[in-house]
Amino acid sequence: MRRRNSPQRHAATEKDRWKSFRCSFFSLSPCLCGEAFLVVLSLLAGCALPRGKDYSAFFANQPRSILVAPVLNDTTSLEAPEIVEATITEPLAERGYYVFPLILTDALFKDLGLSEAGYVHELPPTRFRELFGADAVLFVDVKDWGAKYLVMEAATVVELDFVLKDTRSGETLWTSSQVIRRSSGGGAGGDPIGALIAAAIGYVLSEAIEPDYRPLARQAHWQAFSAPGSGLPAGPYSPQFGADRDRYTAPP
Amino acid sequence: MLRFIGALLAACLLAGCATGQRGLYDWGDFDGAQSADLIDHDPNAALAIYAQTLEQIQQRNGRVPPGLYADYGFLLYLRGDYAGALRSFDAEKRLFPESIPLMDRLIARVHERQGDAVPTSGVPAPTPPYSSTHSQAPNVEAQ
Repeated sequence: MRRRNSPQRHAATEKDRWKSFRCSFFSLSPCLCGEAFLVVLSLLAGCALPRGKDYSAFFANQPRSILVAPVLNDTTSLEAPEIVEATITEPLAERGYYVFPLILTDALFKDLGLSEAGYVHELPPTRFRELFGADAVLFVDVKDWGAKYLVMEAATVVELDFVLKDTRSGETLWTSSQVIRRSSGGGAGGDPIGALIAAAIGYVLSEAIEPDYRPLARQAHWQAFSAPGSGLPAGPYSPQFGADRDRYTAPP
Repeated sequence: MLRFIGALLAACLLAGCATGQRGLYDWGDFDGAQSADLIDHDPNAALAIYAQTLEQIQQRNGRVPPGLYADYGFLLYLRGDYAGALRSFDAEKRLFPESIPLMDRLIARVHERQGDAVPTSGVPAPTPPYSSTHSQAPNVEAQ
């Protein structure tokens, strides 16, 4: 069994995670102008500074259809994989790919005795072509999910890793890591006492009401698939198909 | 020129609002159906939402998103509505040829079930669980 809910692992990765937060784009301007601003900025950043991902394997194996494998869960949240699956079709299909329907494939995976995500993620990618006729298979791994309580604020965090593999060659076509962090406390720097109280209230509230994680999961998907230069190039059902390649080529 | 592009953009946005189409497809409450089944484990609610969404898309003349007909057909199949399931799987094949290998497999499976249900009694078989294997000889006339 692969890394499932081990507390040691959590303790070990926690530090790395916060480190990556500090370096990540999002923490540079927390709570400044809200998420719309951040999304626009990150899209601009995507345009201005291509991250130099290598898309040669992607274009060499240009997929038309994508199957989403059962989502792997590294957290203790039982609903995390279900929410990730329930929100992934639209952002993926809107890139122009045929996405195998999740209600159906979820049942088929169970029917085939393949509902254990840890096991499915280890299968040779060619199996997914045999079973479903898919060109590519998308593996999603929930790395982090839940409420975080810092000194001055409470935040809800969703962190997902994506790996797309070709079902003929087994090659990795594309990868992405997304961290979505929604602050629910004050923490804007103005009034520390107020922020502390807000965080405390946020804590009490979130103990009582589980927040709706769907918008965060959706945002993670849209950012992963649609970010210019680092997302998925337009697929065959998009009018952009074949015309946006220059945006996805690694700089020389 | 800029004004023209702006007007064009606005027109597109308005057109988008009118058809309920946010991008390539008219999604309706696709997400609601996904949540109902995958999160709340309520396939009947998902089926009802899909039925309503399909109706709305047809009224709006929108584009049906990938997988909607396939999921809908599968939920009909679970209910024992084999004819409806076959119609939906065919619709998925027509809209999205990428689905043909999987849809053909499901269609073959529905035909098997239909064969199972017809023989002796003439009473429709109870909604079969998807995973159960069938031991009955499917075709009586062939003997």
